[in-house]
Amino acid sequence: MAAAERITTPPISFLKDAWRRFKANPMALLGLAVLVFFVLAAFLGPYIANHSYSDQSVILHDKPPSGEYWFGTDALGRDLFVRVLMGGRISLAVAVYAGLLQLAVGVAYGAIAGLRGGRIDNFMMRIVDIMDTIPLTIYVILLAVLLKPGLTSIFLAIGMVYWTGMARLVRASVLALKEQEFMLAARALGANRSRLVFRHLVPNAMAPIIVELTFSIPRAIFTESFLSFIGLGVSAPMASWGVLASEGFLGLRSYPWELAFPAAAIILTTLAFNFVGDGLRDALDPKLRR
Amino acid sequence: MARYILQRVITMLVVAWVVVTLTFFMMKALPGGPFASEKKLPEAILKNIERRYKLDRPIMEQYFDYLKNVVVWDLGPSFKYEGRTVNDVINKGFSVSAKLGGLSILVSLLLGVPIGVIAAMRHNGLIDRTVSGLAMLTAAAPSFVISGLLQYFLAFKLKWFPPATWGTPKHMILPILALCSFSLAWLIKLTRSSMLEVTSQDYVRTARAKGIPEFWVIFRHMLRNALVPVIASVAPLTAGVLVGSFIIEFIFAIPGIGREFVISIQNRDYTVTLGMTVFYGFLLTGFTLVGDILTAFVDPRVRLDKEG
Amino acid sequence: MRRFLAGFLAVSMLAAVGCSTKKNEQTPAPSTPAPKKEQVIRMNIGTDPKTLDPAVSTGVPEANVQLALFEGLMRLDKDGKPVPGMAASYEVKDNGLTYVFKLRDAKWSNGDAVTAEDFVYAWKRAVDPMLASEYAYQLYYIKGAEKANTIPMNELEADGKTEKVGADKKPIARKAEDIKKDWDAAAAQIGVKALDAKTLEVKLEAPTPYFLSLTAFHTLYPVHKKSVESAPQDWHRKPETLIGNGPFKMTAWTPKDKVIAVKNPNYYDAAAVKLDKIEFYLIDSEATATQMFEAGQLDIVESGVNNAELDRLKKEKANELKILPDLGLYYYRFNTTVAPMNDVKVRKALTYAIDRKLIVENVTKGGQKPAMSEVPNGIPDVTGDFRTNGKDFFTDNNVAEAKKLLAEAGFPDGKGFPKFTIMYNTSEGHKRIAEAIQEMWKKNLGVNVDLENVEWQVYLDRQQNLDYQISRAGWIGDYIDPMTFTDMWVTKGGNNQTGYSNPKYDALIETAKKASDPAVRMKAMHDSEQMLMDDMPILPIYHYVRVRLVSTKVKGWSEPLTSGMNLREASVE
Repeated sequence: MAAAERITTPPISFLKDAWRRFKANPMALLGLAVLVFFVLAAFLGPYIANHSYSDQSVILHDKPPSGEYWFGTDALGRDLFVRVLMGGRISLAVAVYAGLLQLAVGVAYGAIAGLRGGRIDNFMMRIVDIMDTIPLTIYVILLAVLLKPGLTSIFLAIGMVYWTGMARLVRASVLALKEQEFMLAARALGANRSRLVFRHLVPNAMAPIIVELTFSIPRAIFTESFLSFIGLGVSAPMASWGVLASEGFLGLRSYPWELAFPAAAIILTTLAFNFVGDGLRDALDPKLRR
Repeated sequence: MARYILQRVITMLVVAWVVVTLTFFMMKALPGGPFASEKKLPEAILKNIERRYKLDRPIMEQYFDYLKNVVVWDLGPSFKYEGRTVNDVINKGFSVSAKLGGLSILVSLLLGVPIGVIAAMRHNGLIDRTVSGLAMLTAAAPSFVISGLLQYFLAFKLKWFPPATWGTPKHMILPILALCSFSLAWLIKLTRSSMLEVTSQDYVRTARAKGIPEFWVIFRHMLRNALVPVIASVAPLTAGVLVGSFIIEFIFAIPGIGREFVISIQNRDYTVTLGMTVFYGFLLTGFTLVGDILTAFVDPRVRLDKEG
Repeated sequence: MRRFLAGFLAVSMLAAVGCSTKKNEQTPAPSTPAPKKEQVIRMNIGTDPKTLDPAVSTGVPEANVQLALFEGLMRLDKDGKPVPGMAASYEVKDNGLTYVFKLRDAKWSNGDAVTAEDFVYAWKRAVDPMLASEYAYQLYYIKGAEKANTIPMNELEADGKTEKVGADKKPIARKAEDIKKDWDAAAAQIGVKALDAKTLEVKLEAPTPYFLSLTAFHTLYPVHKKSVESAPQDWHRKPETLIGNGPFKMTAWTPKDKVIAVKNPNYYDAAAVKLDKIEFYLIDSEATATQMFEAGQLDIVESGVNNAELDRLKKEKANELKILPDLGLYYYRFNTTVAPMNDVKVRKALTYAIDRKLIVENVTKGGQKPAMSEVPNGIPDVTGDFRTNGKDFFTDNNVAEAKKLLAEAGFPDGKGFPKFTIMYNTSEGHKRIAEAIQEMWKKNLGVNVDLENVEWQVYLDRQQNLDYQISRAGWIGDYIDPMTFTDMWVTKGGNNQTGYSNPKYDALIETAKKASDPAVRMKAMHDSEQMLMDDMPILPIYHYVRVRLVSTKVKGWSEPLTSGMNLREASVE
């Protein structure tokens, strides 16, 4: 009978399928939860805290955690709890801006190279090779020293230098996708180049791009803390986690909590992003689609 | 094979040349020449210095002079530390950093690969989970945090090791541990995932089906392929170690090259910065070359693939 | 199969551990000293010396090393008084205008005799404009020295004053031969002469009561002519050519690591020198230097006591933590050429609105003294102490007065006050103080400022070019007389860097420099300080103290005012 030939399971869209797989991964969910919590804490926290991040009570400097000061105070008597939250704003903002910048530059570069192919592709990739020859952190330091120290220069420096990984990735994806049938079909239907790129290539290459983006964020946080340690961080009284950690480092043996809290923040955020990234990679990998 | 090596060497030389050229012109274009910060040097002295360092020649002549000097490996004098040459700075610093970096990478490889293999073989078992977890944790902490903790617990509280400086093997342990924390974790993760990918391949299943002992399966069949990405990453790993060493060198007061580099940028000691960038460039293209050759040995597909 | 894997793992683990164990066993013999106490002191001076040429160097780390390697006509004893060094005796003639030094039989570290000619050579070299020494002005007290140091290096217009400018808008350099001619002529006029191999005659521009102390300052050290001329670019870097006449001689300098000096057997008073070796460590990380001291790797931390740990050190290392007086001022410079810093009311308002006591007790924590004046304590007046006599010029934390002045300047409660920036050279300490002050100005005056940290070179650059609004600064006195502070602020003074120019102030300094009557001198300098505090081109914050960590095993060390750490008679017990 006709009824027996019907397919019984309903078709699932790719994204829904991916989300289902993601949900099944407990570590990834945990990571996501932590991130959401941190973001909320960073942006809303300072509004409910008792002290502002810049209020100094110099006489109460370097006090250990207590009922009044949940994370203790720093060398100028400022509330470390609020400062860690504010630091979260800065560090996360830097990381996200840098990530988006890498995204923009890297995707454009890689897409062009992959699409054009041939000599242009070769040339563009040689440039990437050359850039990669020198440890990119060197460029970041150079740039940060030259631009005025501060928030803008940091994310500019990171974003302008770390896009090579994204570019390679996008190019590889584009190369692979270029020859697939849906592209052939689109071209046959008369789509122009930008349509090809934006409506067809990019959405299909999205998976590795998103994963790469997720991993680039903790890298940016690390680089930012590295820059802060050598004095190239955001200017006072603003503080990122990197700045707080380097300030706390000096007093490690006397007031360990001043390092412990910002360091824990960095570590947890990095872990969270890594778990989410792993989860996304597994979830979005079409090969694993069952 | 020989053709492949030749190809790679030529590419390396071209890349090196581009790096030198780019960095040279970049340095020249930067604002504030090398003596901008000297206290209002009278023009006559500036002229003297420029004459001495040949800075008054036309820029292309300076460029070719510099290229010639690079070939014979004379990187010029340091402008900030009177009487020192860049070669001097690099030589003294590098012999220390090389030991630090080299030993770190060695430790990372010797520990990381076997641990990664074990973790993969015991996929999702207790060892795997613990190892992966620890690896993630250490990789998630910035290097100065790890250095600080190592100094605090092992040097200050337990007094097992001296907290700083360089010299005897005892001095080397803490900085090496701090430096290899990241690369160790990374290698473990990479080896593990690579082994996992290989383990589900057909040829492995065939080998097992044939009844070959697991040890041979790993050693003869899996490792060779699984290690390809590991070997390929030794070059960027070295790069990371070289740069990451800056903070380690600062905290542990080690007279290495990483610290010199950052200080030279801060001091606007242009010749030193330039010389070190060139040096790094050569070093890393060299490592990439070695990595590529090793990969070619291990994986025949690479040799035949002309696409870079 | 599993067993094999386990074995494989075990072997590689063992190999790894075995290697590290082997490393441990390769550790050389224990670092505890041999039964007879090894007379070695390991001291941290905080950074790689830029140059050890005594005529050119400007920093404290360098001065510390030079103190061990050289000795001037006089040297400072443990109380800071000048006592005979290379000069066995001296005579003061012509009302203090002429000094005749009789040199003792002393040798350079290579056995050559130290002669009067060595001093003539060294001092003339120090004021040679081609050497471009920043401290050449320390010799201006000597007749003719300033003139020789300031011969025109660039072509001048007909008026003999303004410099000609070339097509590239830069001054045109004079020909080297012309400069040399002028120099030879001027150098011959410098008031330093070797009457014979052991007699040195010095003629001064004006009587200078602190001249003897000056001869103990590193710019006036003698240098070994043959060595200097054998390697003009880098004689001061290599042990073979860095020939000195001090209690120690350099045997090695590993950059970023150590400078090693051993006892100089040719030193005339070698019998008094008990140390065999000094290792100058060059560690810039305060956290590390302090840790190393606590672990016993360092005996003295001259530079690098971790301020963040000061409270704990005061409790746990009370015997080793030494807080010594210093002769220095920590202050902020105002750029008086830009608004709103050009209004003296604004400057005073900002100055009065700071709580210095709070800062020194809670931020710097070293026992520094709040400064409501310029010249610190420790300088003798005609009678008594200069600072004690001069008293304070304003009240600390006078917020009411500050608010009033700010309103008078046109910014009641800080309304309309343009945002400006405090520039400081990268350092946690400077940052903390700046942050505290930033907050005080916000709270007390409603004035908002930004903070900007820059690298040392850039910092020096920008101050010199007046490319800042407020800049952090510090000045340590070079000799024990108020002049070392007061003469900084003369019009176009090399260390002024604020754009401050008051001819009346210049006149007072001139008076003090020319007067032979100490009462007149001191009064002129007191008046100049009053004028400075009325015009307020700088914002005094605190007077320095020196915080050091010295192991209880080290004896016989001293660090008098204006001197580095003197280990001439030190020993290790």
